[in-house]
Amino acid sequence: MKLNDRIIGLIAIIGGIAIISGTFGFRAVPGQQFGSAFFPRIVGTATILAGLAQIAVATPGPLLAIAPALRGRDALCKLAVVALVVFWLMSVQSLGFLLCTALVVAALALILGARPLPAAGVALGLPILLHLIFGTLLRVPLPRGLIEGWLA
Amino acid sequence: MNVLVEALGHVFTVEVLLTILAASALGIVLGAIPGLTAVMGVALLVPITFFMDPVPAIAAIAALAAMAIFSGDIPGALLRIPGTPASAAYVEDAHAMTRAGRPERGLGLSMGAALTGGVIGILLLMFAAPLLARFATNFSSVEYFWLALLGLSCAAIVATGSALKGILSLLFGLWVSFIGIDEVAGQARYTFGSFELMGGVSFIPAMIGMFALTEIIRNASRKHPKREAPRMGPVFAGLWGNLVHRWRNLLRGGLTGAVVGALPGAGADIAAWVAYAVAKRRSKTPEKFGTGHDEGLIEAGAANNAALSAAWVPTLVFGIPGDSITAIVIGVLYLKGLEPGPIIFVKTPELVYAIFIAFLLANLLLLPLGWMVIRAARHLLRVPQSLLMPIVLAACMVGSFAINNTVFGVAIMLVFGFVGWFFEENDIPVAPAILGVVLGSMLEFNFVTSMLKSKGDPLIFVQRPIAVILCLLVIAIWAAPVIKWLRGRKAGGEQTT
Repeated sequence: MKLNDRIIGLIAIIGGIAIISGTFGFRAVPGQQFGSAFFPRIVGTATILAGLAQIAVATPGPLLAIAPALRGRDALCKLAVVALVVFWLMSVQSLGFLLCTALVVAALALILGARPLPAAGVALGLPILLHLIFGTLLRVPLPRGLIEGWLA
Repeated sequence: MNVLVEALGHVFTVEVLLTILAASALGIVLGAIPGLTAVMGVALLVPITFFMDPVPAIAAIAALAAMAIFSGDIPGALLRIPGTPASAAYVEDAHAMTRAGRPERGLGLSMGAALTGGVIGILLLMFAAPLLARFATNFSSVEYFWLALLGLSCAAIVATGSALKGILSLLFGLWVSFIGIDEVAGQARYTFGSFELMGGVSFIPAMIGMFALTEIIRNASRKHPKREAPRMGPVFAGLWGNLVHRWRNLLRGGLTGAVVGALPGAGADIAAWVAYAVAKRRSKTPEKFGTGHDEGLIEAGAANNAALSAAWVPTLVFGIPGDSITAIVIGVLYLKGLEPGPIIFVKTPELVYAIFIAFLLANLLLLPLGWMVIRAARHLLRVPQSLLMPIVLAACMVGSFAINNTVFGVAIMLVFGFVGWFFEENDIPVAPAILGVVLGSMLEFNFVTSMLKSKGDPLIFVQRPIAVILCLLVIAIWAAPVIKWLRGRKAGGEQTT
């Protein structure tokens, strides 16, 4: 998803304005000349200027170019990665680490074209290995769910 | 002397030696697989080092990075796909040797060059860092302000690609560094009402997102080209003679890499490109470059590993990262309660020397592990992406979770993964953003402290000799691209008239 440099410049200008407008609520520290807003305002101003310069030096061309790798099935594969992380975020507390990770790994492997048997092997083995390293050895309190409950 | 003995005692324990060996093995495998980079490996290793003592933690990172940079040459030589960006400069020469039926020659030379370059970089680190640290103990907030600004300027201007996009990336990183409670005034900034953002953006999940998730998104595809690597001959046959014959390239590459690597923001990949260009310019046969010639391969191969070690000089002495890997290292040092800066050399010199020794050991391990991975390369390259990417994704999620034991870390990873992918798609360099995140608070803190000291008089920034020198360096860095642009315009104008 390659945006034209003019669009990138425009995004930078909007970002710069947002950074500066975000500072208006910062309270001033009595007796201090340079409060919490000072540096963010410099960065906001510099972002606007850099955005303007980006627009000035931009070469003409389409506003948005979609690379072949981002079309058709490949685009869906990339979207699937993001969707699976969102799924993990939303459901790991209820499903537990083992089941949720196994589902994500199996789904991504199959989406990317792995054969079912190796995909199932990795989906079963990897969460257990990660649980052993992080949950057991490093004592990270990984979210517990159905399977962890049975195992306990 | 006592410090050195103590440092040796820290390193030569079963725990540390096994950690170095395991991290080296992991690094050499990661680097050899296309799509898995050294920075990605380091980002994924950090959640595990989080639970280690400082010496094994830092040793593991150093070992993994050194190995991965070398083994990134393997897919480059065999398939013309650089395993890490640092291998891209000489991929044509290495692959041409493979096409000529001698893959072991290119890979053997890469291994020898990496080992020599790495040792040169470590020697520089061992001698220059303590000297600089002694000098830097007199620095005040003013010098640290200029150093932070110098680091940020280098990151934006020296970064590969458009300087303007480098600046935009840097400004994004600076904005991210503002998120959370301002340490001077106690004001919450850009937290969007989130309690979790009060402490700022968790650095490690952000790095995992930018370096690992970005790669997964990029590599997520159903099209997997079949990779068939050629059979390998004896790696060590004639290697020593070839390296001795090209000793000038080895030495010059190591030194070039060490100097470039010590610049903040200029990492192993830039060092390799610079060294390759220097080798071509100094060669008697520049026309042979890119056709399977060994000079550029040796010089750039030595430079990228030297840069990796030298990047630790500004990191340890000033707390200013030399590249993306050392930016992550700074985060790890803080997590371990070790504040990088000259004081670390005074307070815990044995730890610093232990890190140096671990680095040296890791580089020496390049020889046996390098040989083994070259022999096993054919099998490693066959690992299907369709299984590799889900494995890396699971490691990303559990690693991001483990830093703060919260799913919010995974959300940060996702956001920064998307940002990293967007940057990559639009040729915006990622490294300046990372340096912005790391150095933003240092810049702001030292500016405000200096202004408080001088009661608002900005002249404080140019009243000490070192501060003036640093100020001039910053001006020179920003002026250079403007002068280049003006010269280009003038030359263009003369051509048209």
